[in-house]
Amino acid sequence: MMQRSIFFYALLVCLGLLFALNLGFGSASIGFGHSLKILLSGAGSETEQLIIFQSRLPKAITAILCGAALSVSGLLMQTLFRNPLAGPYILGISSGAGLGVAFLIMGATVLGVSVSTGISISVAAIIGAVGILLILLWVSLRLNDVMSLLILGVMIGAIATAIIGMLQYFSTDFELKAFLLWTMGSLEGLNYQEVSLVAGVCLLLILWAFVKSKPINAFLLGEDYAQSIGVSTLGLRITLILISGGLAGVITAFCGPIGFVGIVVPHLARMLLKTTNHLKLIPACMLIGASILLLSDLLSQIPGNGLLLPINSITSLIGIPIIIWIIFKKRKLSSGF
Amino acid sequence: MKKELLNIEKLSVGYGKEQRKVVENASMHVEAGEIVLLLGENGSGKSTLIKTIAGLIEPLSGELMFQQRDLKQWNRKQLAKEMALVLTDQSYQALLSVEEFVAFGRYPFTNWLGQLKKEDIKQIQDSLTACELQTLRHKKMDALSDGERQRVFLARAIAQQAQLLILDEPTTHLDVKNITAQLRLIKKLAEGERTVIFSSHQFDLALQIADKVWLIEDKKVHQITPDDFYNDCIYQEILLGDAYRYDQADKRFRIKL
Repeated sequence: MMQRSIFFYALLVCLGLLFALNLGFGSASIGFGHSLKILLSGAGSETEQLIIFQSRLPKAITAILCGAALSVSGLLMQTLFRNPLAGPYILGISSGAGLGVAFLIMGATVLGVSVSTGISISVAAIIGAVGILLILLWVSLRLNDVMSLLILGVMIGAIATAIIGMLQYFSTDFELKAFLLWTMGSLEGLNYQEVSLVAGVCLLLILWAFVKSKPINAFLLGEDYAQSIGVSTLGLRITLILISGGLAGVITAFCGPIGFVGIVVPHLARMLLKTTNHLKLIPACMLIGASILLLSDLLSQIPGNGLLLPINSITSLIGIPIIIWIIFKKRKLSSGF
Repeated sequence: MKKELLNIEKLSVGYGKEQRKVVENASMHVEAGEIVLLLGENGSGKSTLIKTIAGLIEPLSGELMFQQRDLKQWNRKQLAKEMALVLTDQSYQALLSVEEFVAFGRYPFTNWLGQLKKEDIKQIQDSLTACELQTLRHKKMDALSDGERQRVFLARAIAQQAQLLILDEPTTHLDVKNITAQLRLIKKLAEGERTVIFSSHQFDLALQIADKVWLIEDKKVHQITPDDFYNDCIYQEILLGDAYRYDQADKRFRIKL
């Protein structure tokens, strides 16, 4: 018990530290100490203030939201399917969002319009993700088996990817690059309105999951047992799809697909806390996920020369070694289910 | 007269369509405090019948009254306080300790956070003691033997404090010593006014504690007593084929050689 609360404090400190580092470092060479001074006391020139408040701060907040949301989303999917390989994108949510964006960017020339601005990309991605989500909900009301649902989700995702492939084939170089850039993910370019929208949606959905921790825990016993102790499993299944899909959808819409955080963090949380209780796992996933994304963002900026590496590659490069390490340490991942 | 707990009239169970009907037109009843032994060959529909009585599968037709109320009218939460279930599906979470797993039996009684109150802890400890699990209570689920795990499943169901316990093959994977321990425990539960419906392939041992036998034969369910089974070759034929019979003089089952 004691160990767990120490662990939570350590995570909080770690998160705070990474947050400060994120604000202190960036492509513009404002010293770390000076950056913090600007943030806390409002000192510094107008340009410096602009950089800190309009670029670094929203970006750091986006990273935190992104990490927390994707990690909780992945945790819920792993619980729903009792499968260690499940993640926020397992049901094709990101392919759906990608399809929406692909239609917007690459279908635009067909329609003779050019509409690929930041907000329209988000809207297109949301439409795509919600579309897939609705199909999944419709299916889950008809199929009384999560494994069939899992396979169907993967298939639906594959169809979306196939259509994206066709669109790519017929698109121009310029559009192809624009789409490719979107698939690499980005934490940048969100204004405060967008950040607060993402924050509101994510926090509400995570809170919903947290409140449902008790039935979610029971779900891990298997659906028959869960029912026999009083859980309405169909309702809970739909709730899990809605929360997890909503989280993945909203993040993908504003930041593009960001890989592996959602798969890795839940395992990390389970291993470090040695529990399957979602009352503890959900907050732990939020903290670990946010920290990892802040760290990824730090690593994505090569100091000094202003170059920014794609965040999706960085999270994969960090995430995959962690998962391999867990496998070697624990021998099997499925023991959490 | 004893209180009637479960009343089944003309019940048909199965999955979806007519052709997958496994039990047809079954009429049985259970009184409070009884032990009912469900017998039948592999694939005869024991598990399907059990899941239907537990409300996990909808009956195809017929009436299923639990505590004088149609089972369909029960919501899951209410039902969980009156009926507990152990299935053959041995799924468990490796990370849980025995005590934590048994605590899931208190699910219907705890608040939204799942906090255990004094009464919950008492019930958990009592069922751990009843199932002789006190020494194992901090062990993780994957560190247990099959027999121990089977007892943990039963302990979880007991902690649920339900009037009716439905156990699908609680004696599988167990050696004789553990089977008898398990059966004695079931008998003790029934003496404490709980009602048990259970299936088993260890029929000769299980018959010794049963008050009533439900014998499934080709979609029909015979409701008989253990004595009927001992005395009537027709029933033995259904379950045992023609090479295994109860020897009245010897008072035991014998293989015909």
